[in-house]
Amino acid sequence: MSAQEIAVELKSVRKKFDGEHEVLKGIDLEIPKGKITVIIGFSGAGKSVMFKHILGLMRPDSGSIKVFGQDLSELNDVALNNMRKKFGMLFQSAALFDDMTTIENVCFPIAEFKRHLKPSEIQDIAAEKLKMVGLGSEHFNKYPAALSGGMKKRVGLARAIALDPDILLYDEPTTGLDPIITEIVDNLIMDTHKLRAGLTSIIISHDLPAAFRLADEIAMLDAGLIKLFGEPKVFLESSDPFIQKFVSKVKVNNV
Amino acid sequence: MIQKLEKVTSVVSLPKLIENFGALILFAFNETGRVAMFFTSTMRWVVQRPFRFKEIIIQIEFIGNQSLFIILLSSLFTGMVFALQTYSGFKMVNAQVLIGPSVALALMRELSPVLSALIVTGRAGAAMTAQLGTMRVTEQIDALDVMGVNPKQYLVMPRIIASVIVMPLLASVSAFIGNVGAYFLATRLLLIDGAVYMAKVNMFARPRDVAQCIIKAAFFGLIFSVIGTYKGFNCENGARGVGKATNETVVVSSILILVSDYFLSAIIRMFLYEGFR
Ligand SMILES: Nc1ncnc2c1ncn2[C@@H]1O[C@H](COP(=O)(O)OP(=O)(O)OP(=O)(O)O)[C@@H](O)[C@H]1O
Ligand SMILES: [Mg+2]
Repeated sequence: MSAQEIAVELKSVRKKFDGEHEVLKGIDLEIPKGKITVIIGFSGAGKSVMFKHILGLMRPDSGSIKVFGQDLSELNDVALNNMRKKFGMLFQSAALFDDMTTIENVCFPIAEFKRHLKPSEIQDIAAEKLKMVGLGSEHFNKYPAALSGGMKKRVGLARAIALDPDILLYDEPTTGLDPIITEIVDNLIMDTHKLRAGLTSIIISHDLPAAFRLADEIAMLDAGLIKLFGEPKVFLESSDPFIQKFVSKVKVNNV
Repeated sequence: MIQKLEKVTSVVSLPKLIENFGALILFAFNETGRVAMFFTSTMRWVVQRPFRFKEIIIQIEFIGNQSLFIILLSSLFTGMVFALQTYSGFKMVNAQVLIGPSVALALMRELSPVLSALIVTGRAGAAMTAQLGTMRVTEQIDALDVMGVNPKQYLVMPRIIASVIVMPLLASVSAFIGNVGAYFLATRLLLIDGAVYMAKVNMFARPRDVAQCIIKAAFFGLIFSVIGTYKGFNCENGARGVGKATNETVVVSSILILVSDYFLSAIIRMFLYEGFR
């Protein structure tokens, strides 16, 4: 483990809301570079809040968050903004800009950050990313309202990888999708991960079987702490009754 | 808060009343502070690259376009009705020609900026809250943030700048059209001599009245755009929240525009006119 490069490092991160409700109670986590790390935990455990801390959208009350060794607390707003270019994120709702077409959505981050490029070059890159996630050109000029849930996820993913991020974050990428689309999205995540060497993928998931299939590492968040962190087999072999209960479903299905 | 206030009306007790009033004042101060912080943190992004000229132009077009026709229509009739209603009063003292300056001053100093602002609040201000609110609850604002595109710079700042630029234009157009309406009503229907009408307007209306119109309109533009974007940006609770926030934008902005109009008038009198009295 020690030889491994660390993409994101959280050190005793604590976060309280409204001065009373402590959501994160000292998170220690080292997310390895180039791997798929899946974060699991019950609803309300603080998974999304942890993501927001990694992205610098929220600041911890105490503790530190480092991204590729850079402490986020040392960055001002503008530097933080620049730091976020290293990230791509797929939202649960895909969060597409609904006043832009599919291709405009993907062009947007490219046009924002590669201002030297000509519009036609930007279009080319966007089209290439859309093809990568398996979206045909017949959908390029549709508005998000005219796309199915699975297609929206594809566009969202194409937009997330538009700037070739080093870290890809997925917040519940398959929650609310039917089993077939779920499998398609899972495969998409896998394929996207293999697209570029060194890409770090971090996934929040409620879908345990998929989590165990995709993950190199799993982190279990419970009551504001990392309950267990390790390879999937560590979870399956754990004697802790709480974790046993959590993974029993996976054992029945897969192992 | 509202539940508390309802209780008070059923059991009226003085301490409770004071307590509730205190809570309301406290809430107002807190909210004012939050809006002020929202505004200053947005304005920091004005000087940051990339400058959002394109977004500002789009917003100018949107705000102006949405409201121009209604403002033209309502200003025309406001000018006309004002001329009509003051006619009988002035006629009693045989001073019908003073209709011209009365309408001109009333429009420039008060009616045009206030009316335009209320109309634009109901349309563009409400639209700002609805747009940003929808973007907030569907995570589009988070998506911008994650992309490294600051949403305050990209969404909020252009709307505020555009409003402050557009409102003086709209109010000026409103004052002009209102005066045209009054002029035609007075000269065609009330049979006042056009040359005398204009001479009286020239005698009373001053550049400082135009300045008052512009200053007020710009300030009102600041009010509804800051409230409108603040309410949208901090929207919660899905579609229901967006509706509620939109409603609040219209109510709060309208009240603030009418209240601040008095204080602005007092300040402008002090500096541009002969002092407060
Ligand atoms: N901005 C906020 N203000 C106050 N409380 C918040 C805020 N964001 C999250 N919380 C609280 O933090 C707790 C954890 O929320 P979080 O969204 O991280 O849960 P989660 O693990 O992602 O759950 P889910 O699986 O349902 O998405 C919840 O109790 C939530 O109410
Ligand atoms: Mg969540």
